[in-house]
Amino acid sequence: MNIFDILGKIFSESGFAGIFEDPRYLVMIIVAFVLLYLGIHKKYEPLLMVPIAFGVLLANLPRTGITDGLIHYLSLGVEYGIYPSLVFLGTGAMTDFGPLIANPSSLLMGAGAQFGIFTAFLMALLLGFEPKVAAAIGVIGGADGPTAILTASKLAMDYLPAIAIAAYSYMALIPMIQPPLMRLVTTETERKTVMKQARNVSKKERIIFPIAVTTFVVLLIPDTAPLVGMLMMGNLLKETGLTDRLSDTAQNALTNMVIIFLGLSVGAKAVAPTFLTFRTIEIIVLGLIAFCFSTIGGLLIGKIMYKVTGGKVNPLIGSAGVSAVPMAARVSQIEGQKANPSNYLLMHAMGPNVAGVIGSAVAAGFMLKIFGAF
Amino acid sequence: MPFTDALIIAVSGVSVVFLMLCILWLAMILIDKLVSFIESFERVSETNQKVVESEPAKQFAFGAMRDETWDRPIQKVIGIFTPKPDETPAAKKPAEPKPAPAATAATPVQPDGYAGELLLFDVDEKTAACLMAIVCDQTKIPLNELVFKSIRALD
Repeated sequence: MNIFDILGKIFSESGFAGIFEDPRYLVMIIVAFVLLYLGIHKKYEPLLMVPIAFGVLLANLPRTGITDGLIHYLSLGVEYGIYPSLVFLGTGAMTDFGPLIANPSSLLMGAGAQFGIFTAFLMALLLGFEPKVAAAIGVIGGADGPTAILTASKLAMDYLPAIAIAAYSYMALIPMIQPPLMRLVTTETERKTVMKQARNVSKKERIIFPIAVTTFVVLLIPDTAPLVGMLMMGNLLKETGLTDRLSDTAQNALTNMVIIFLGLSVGAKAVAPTFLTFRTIEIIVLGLIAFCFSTIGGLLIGKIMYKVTGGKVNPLIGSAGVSAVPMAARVSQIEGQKANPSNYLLMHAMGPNVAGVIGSAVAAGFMLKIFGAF
Repeated sequence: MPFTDALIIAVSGVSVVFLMLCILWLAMILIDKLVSFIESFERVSETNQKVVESEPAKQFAFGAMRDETWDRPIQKVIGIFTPKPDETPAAKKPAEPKPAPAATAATPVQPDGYAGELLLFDVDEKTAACLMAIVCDQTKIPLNELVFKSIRALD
């Protein structure tokens, strides 16, 4: 045995040799670098994009065995739908449902913005996806990462990475995707509409709201329990004012830990043999279509409400019905101010925005109900 | 799956989401009404209880707040909604100074409808009266229809 034998052995057992054996891993490593660039440099949802991208990188470095050990056990949280529900707990603890309670008609815009889910579902079927996979793809249109992940983990585990990456990418791209659609669907006069300040919401209402929503929604569609239940529990922890420590944990420590595990697990599912397929590209395109239709659905309901209320509702807040909180609401605010600098739509847009979270959970629950048993 | 079945599922899905959120909308309206009713009921019973308990606290009737030391313009504004001193029995009594950090004032129901409790935090009565007058003037709502719960000085 000489030095060359030793070096040759090290090389033949290294990841580099693995890349030579299957160059697709190299492509996935480049994909991971691109995702890291988007997350870190472009700031596209960095809290999730960075762990996902790093998961992609780790899983595609050949011969590590990490996907059979650490990642395998972390992935159980995704497979059993634990992480998305816990993220919802944190989301609930961070969300102020006041604008929605003050203006419950926002719920209609939240419902309209789920239109893309069902459009994308139909289109995915036309492209030859299995019905349950089509349902999981459609949920990307809800613009709600945890909901998309939960649905995909139950209905289309093989496509989970593509669905998760598509969902979070489009959520990050909201400031680019939505404004052209907003200008296309609404008129200048509609965009200039100034909305009246919403009423104050009492503490009693804020406390009753999560309890009532959980009871109504979960009784009607029990499959929404993990998402709606956790979302509302988180909100109740926040609103009681007596469970500050729990609320604080849900908002910060717990959510941060779960996001690390979730991102890493989802990213690590994107291994070259299953991810580098034409289906992935189809899913990403369908996700974009779903997203656009959801935005248009919310805007159209906004336009109807503008007409019905005699011009008291600015239809721009309808686009916030896609549930990317609070980015979609911010986009409504920015577009509203472009049309009329004295327009402050942020708090009004938060109503449809949080309604969208409930709406997408209901739509996902419906899909799970219909296709979960297949 | 036949496309017609898929279409039915999609239409059903949209309908379920709308129906669900409409039910929630109705539920929220009901909650709003219920909470408003409970809160107004609580407010009324609280006020009645204070009226019974706080006979000596009549000094804070709005009429009593009018004092010769007040500036004339303020008197003019306050005069729009406060009873004249000679019309209010409480006005004959001197206004007692309230504690500065948190003053509580409760009054019985007056014939002209001025009543209730007002909490003052780091605000003197003169300033409070001015603020109430401004709100009354700006909103064009008569003072006896406005309910002030508290006035707090902001940093």
